[in-house]
Amino acid sequence: MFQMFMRKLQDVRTLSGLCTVAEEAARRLGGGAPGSEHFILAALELPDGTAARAFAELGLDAARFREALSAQRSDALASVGISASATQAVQSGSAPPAGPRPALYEAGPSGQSLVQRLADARSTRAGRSLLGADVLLAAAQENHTPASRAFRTLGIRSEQLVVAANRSIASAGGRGAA
Amino acid sequence: MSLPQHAPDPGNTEDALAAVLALRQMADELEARAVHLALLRGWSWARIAEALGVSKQAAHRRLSYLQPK
Repeated sequence: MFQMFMRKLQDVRTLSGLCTVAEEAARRLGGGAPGSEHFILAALELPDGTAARAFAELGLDAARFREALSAQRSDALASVGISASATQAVQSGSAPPAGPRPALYEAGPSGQSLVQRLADARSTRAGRSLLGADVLLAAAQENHTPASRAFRTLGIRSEQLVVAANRSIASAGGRGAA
Repeated sequence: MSLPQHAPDPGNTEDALAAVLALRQMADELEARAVHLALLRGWSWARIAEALGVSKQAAHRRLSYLQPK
């Protein structure tokens, strides 16, 4: 009973940490509310290391994922004849201030959907803590987000992401996840 | 960059919608830069709002964080 309470408390901490880091990643990558791609970047930094390990198994890291996010965005803009450097055309001498910090965690729609999927999957995690690789499992269910397009650019299919994430979770379990 | 080149086709639904999202994000970034520059050059909120095609209240509510300190 006490263990369950402590696990739930840890999960709340993990989730709030994810939201905070996702928010910072979104602001650094051009502003706007955090989407699922920012939650993936946040998961890669979690101390449990399961997301990073799953990525490593797929030959990925945060830098390559960021590169792929940028590439899928450039591709999308190029398809309608716009060069991605168009935003650099306006030189204001100094970078504009970062957007205001929202009062509560305000994820964008794809971020909110991902968090909802994490909550919905609680029963499948019966008895264990929320881990970074769970974010990858939730993201693997997407089809049309920038994150899913980035994975496709990298030649990674959803099934591969799921297998790598589950393997990482299983190996963490043996050592008693945080 | 060693990533494979994918030439999206705007006639393709998935690619067209991805282009809409990318354009929206780009428009937001461009807006932040352009409004910041306008404020640095002394533009009033009324003038900025007129150029953006929105009310002065809406412009200020959304973009007041760009005011140079």
